Amino acid sequence: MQTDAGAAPGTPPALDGGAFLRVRGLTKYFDITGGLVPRLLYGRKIVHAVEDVSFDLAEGETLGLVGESGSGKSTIARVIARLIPATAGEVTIDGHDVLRAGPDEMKVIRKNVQFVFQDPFSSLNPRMRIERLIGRSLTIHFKMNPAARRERVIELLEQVGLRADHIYRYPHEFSGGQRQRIAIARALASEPTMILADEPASSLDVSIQAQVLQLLDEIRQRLGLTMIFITHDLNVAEFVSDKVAVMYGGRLMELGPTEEVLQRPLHPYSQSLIEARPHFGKRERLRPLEGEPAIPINPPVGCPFAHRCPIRIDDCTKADVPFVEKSPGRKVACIRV
Amino acid sequence: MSETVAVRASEQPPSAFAAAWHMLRDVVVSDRKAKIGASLLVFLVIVAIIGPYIAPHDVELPNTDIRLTGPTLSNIMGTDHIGRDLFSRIISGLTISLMVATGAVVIAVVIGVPIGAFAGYQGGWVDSVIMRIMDAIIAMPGRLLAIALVAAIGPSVGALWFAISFGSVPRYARLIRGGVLAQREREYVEAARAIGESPGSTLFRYVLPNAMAPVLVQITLNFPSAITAEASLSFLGLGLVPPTISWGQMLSAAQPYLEVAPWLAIFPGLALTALIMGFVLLGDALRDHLDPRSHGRRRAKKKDSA
Amino acid sequence: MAILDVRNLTVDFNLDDGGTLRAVDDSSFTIERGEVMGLVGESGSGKSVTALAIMRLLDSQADITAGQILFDGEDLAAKSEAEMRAIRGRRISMVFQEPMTSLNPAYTVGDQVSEVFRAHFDMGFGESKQRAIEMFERVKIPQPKDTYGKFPHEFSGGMRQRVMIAIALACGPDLLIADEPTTALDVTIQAQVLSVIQDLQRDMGLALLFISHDLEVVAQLCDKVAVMYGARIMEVSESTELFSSPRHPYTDGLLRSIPRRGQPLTPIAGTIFDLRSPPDGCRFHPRCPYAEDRCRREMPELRVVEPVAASTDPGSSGDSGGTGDRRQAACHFPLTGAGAKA
Repeated sequence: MQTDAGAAPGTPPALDGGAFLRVRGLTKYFDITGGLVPRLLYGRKIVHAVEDVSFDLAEGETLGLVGESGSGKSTIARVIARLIPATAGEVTIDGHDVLRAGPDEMKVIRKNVQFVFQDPFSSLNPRMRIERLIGRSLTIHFKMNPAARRERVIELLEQVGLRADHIYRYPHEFSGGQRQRIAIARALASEPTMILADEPASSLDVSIQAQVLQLLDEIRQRLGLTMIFITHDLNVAEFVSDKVAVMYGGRLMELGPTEEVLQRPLHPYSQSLIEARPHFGKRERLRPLEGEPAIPINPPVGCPFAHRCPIRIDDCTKADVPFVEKSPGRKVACIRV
Repeated sequence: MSETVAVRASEQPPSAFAAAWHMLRDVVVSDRKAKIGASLLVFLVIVAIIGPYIAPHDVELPNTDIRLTGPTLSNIMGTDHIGRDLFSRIISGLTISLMVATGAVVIAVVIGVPIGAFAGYQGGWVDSVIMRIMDAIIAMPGRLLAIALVAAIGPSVGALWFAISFGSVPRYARLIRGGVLAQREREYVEAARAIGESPGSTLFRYVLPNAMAPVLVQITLNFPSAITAEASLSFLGLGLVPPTISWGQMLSAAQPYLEVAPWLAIFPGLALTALIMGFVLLGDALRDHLDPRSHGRRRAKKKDSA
Repeated sequence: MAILDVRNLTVDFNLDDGGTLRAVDDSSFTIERGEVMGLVGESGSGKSVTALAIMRLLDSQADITAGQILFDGEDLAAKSEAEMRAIRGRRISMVFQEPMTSLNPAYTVGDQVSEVFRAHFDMGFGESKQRAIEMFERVKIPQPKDTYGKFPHEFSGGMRQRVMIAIALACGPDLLIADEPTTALDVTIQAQVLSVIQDLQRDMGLALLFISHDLEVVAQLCDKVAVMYGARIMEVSESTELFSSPRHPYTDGLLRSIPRRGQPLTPIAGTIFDLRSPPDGCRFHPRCPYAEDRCRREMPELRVVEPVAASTDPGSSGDSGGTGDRRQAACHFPLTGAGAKA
């Protein structure tokens, strides 16, 4: 594959078919064997957290990555941002080969790709005042002098709905919603082109969650950011994303335009996920899917969802299920569809 | 929500030391034990600094007219076997004692903390090798090790610093390594990487400041052991030798006169106790502060502010 | 007669610094036999404290300072600890958010369920084991017999919550209080646990007080809903009506905070006040888009509101309105229903 490593800023690399983010065969295993003795006694234990994931995202698009805990959705984001190393695969962001970038190129990628974490109580250094907490990014990426830095931090704070005098405070002096606003301001400081958000609002109260979502959405639109938004909440995914990817057991089950996936899910897992969601004005009984997701430790071949699937056949567990395009932009990993 | 604005004039560097200082201040303000300990220490340090100017008599000037006299108005703690003023000598001994202990603790921290931080941050076999060496040092009996070292190098302040600090280096290394390992997994450390902080910057700005608190406790509890180590070495004649004045040495010199002049042992002993108590009280309070299980009040406070 | 009739319940916390904090303020609601009541609110609303007050499980810092908790006609607030022990587990049970902390890790789950039977009924070991296995079947734990000898850590969160439900319902209580029982669970697991609760509630004719921050879960499950904000009940209503046409601006704001495709979010502005210094007048007025002078001065009581139309609020009515009986809201200017359309 050819990539436009030297693309000028603003010109999308043409040879990738317009994809701003391109993920191919991304795989991440964790070895949880726990030392030599257990290894000799029980063999290796490998968690297949992310298995052979591929997708594209165009510039300015938002992908909602949906799945339950343990599905590998957070791990994907961390691997894409290279916060943890990948086991295999390829990630290209705006022409940069993320997983093989040297220190200089990595600096550019760090500037362009920012992360918003789930828990605003643990993602902010408790010993830094807000000015420094947000300003570090400005020092690192723009070498700003203290006066300019302060001015810019205040500007960023005001953009996220906080006040100038907040720069003197420490994180513990803020509520959860305010802290998440600070985390967003920190992410915006380096003027990124892409944001990876890992359940940024799910630890917050309903009314505060809505404020944070609204803010993120407004910023995304205004700055034309490309975004991966990880969530377990289908309402949230529906609200923020252009495309939705459904994950289960480390693999993508279904990918497509938000409306289509959530209104007319093709994969039996997506269907059961959507049916399990409580609804207003739907007082009839829930029809939950039985069984629980298995942690993919040394998983067998085949579809990870097969053990819970209502329409499984023997072939589902005989070979890995390919992730194939069913209609333009719509991919499903199911042999029954 | 109360929106009182606490605007402070200048931004304090959020260094590891600032972090430690904040904790120290919090504890002294909120804990009575810490208040007593800290007051005692502040008083003794002031005395040590201005000692030479307030000492009523020359510490070395013998006065055979008043040999082995008990406390009087002009010699409030009595005199020794050649008539030197005990009070003046104790003040001088305090200065020496603090100097030796401070030096020994500083050396242990300056060597131990980087070793532990490096081992913890690096991980892997580097960590294993470094920490096994530290374990080996800890396994040796500390006081005996100090005696052997001083005996080998010869008695001097420098030798004492080295000998006393040597055994406590691994304690700092272990503590800070544990802290670094715990902090490394924290989300804000991950966040630091995500905004593009370099590894060194991550270590010094994010990991260490948050791992320093237990070191502060160790420091306050390290002082008493350094002070007693110096006193015992000097008592055995292996530490400081005259004309340098040391409490250990004074206790040793008091031995032949215990029956006729017990104050020669009592006053240096009391001085030693007071100094150690100061550190122990403060160190205990700090340790309580760090261990949430022993401190219901802090937890309750956290709960309603959350 | 209602199985639970909470009247003017007030709970105060004594803070370490000598101050007090009112966590539940003058709250009243009733639950009929066999009825499912939802208690909705954000953190700090007082919904969990209400549950603990009913169970009389408040910690030592908290006191019920006013009001009555009439359970089957008897005031729980006036009962001694010994009397409460006979009621707890036997007639009122509770299920918490985190089942791991409520289960004893040192005993098998079978022991913990059969223990309930032995403690409350004069039952031998064999019979109590049999009954425990039956309970596991009723909460749809697969292979109930094998489950009996397993320890809590061998279960997933969803299975543990089923064990907790089995323990809670073992004695056939009249009232079950469930405090965010599915909040920590994944969507498909949540649906399983909710359906277990729903089935058992219907089979046993149980009254259920279901506490949650999740409006959709409550809408799915409950007959009647009370909405709490800042220690006070803002609105009480039949469930479908509450969600189709909220009368209190706070309820309306909560519903508008749920993201929906293609609709702009219009979240409630601001954050909850500091419970130690509540605002004058209506607790919600600093965040209320409709607040007027009267709201700032005068605290609105929870009262029956007219079924739409007869309101002073701007905006046309024209909404279905429904029966509208027994709808209560604590608002000087209740919404007319038109403002809430999704």
